[in-house]
Amino acid sequence: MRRIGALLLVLLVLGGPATPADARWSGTATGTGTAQAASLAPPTGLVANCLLTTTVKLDWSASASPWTTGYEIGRGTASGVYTWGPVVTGLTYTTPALALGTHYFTVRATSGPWRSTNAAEVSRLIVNVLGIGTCV
Amino acid sequence: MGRKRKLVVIPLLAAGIAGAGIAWAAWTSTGSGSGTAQSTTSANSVIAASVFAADLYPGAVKSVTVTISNPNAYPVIVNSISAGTAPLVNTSCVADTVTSDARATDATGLFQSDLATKTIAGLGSGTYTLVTRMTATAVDACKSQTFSLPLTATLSSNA
Repeated sequence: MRRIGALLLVLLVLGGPATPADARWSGTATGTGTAQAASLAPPTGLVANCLLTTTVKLDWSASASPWTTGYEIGRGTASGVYTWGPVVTGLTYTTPALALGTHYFTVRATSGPWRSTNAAEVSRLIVNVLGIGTCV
Repeated sequence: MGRKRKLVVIPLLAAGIAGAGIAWAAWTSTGSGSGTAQSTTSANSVIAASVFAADLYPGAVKSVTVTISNPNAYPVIVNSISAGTAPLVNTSCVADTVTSDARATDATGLFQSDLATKTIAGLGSGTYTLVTRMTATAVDACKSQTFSLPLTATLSSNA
């Protein structure tokens, strides 16, 4: 009887209860992360000033989007219809010599392939004064 | 003398059995998981977006934070988080425009966003930061869109 009691005691000490280390659970979790794309704010305050006789200097204020990488110039002879380009990095642009007639301008911000909405359109008229094209 | 030994052994035996029972109970919970050890039925954890990665733009690399919940009573660690790829958002903004990098497997657990904590307490949650990218060729139609990134994390108990 003494031997049995001693044996049980030894088994208990050596074996002990089950430990958490023996029972590691593993599993998986699924779900979604969310990312939000930015918008691209247009430049503001576009103005067109006559420069020399038939050229126009455009100036504007920066887009509120800090990820703006450039500004694309829109120009046309009908309101709201533009030929786009070039893209500049500054806040000013001087046109090449313009033909007689009314010219409409806008500018939009760029960020890689992105384009903002257009800044408010401005226009300038090139007229013939004594045989010379003149911006008014 | 023999009677005294019996009185000592019986309580020890009882204590050992009770201890084993406690250890077992600590690893049992409701739900299901892919258990790899002796005692597990467990509730699966859930990943949820906790903070938006705002202001992604073409070529941007930003952080997104996700929360992983632990519905079980025992603490767990997150060992890995898969890469994520956003599916098609609209007809022009294609899949793969936004992705998140995987967090590589770490048997000791990934650090949470505080860069100090690894363990998620029982019934608690932890936040993890992922690097998120928008391709440089993201088209105009991706502007202002919300991208969902399916993620899978692996977890293990940590007690």
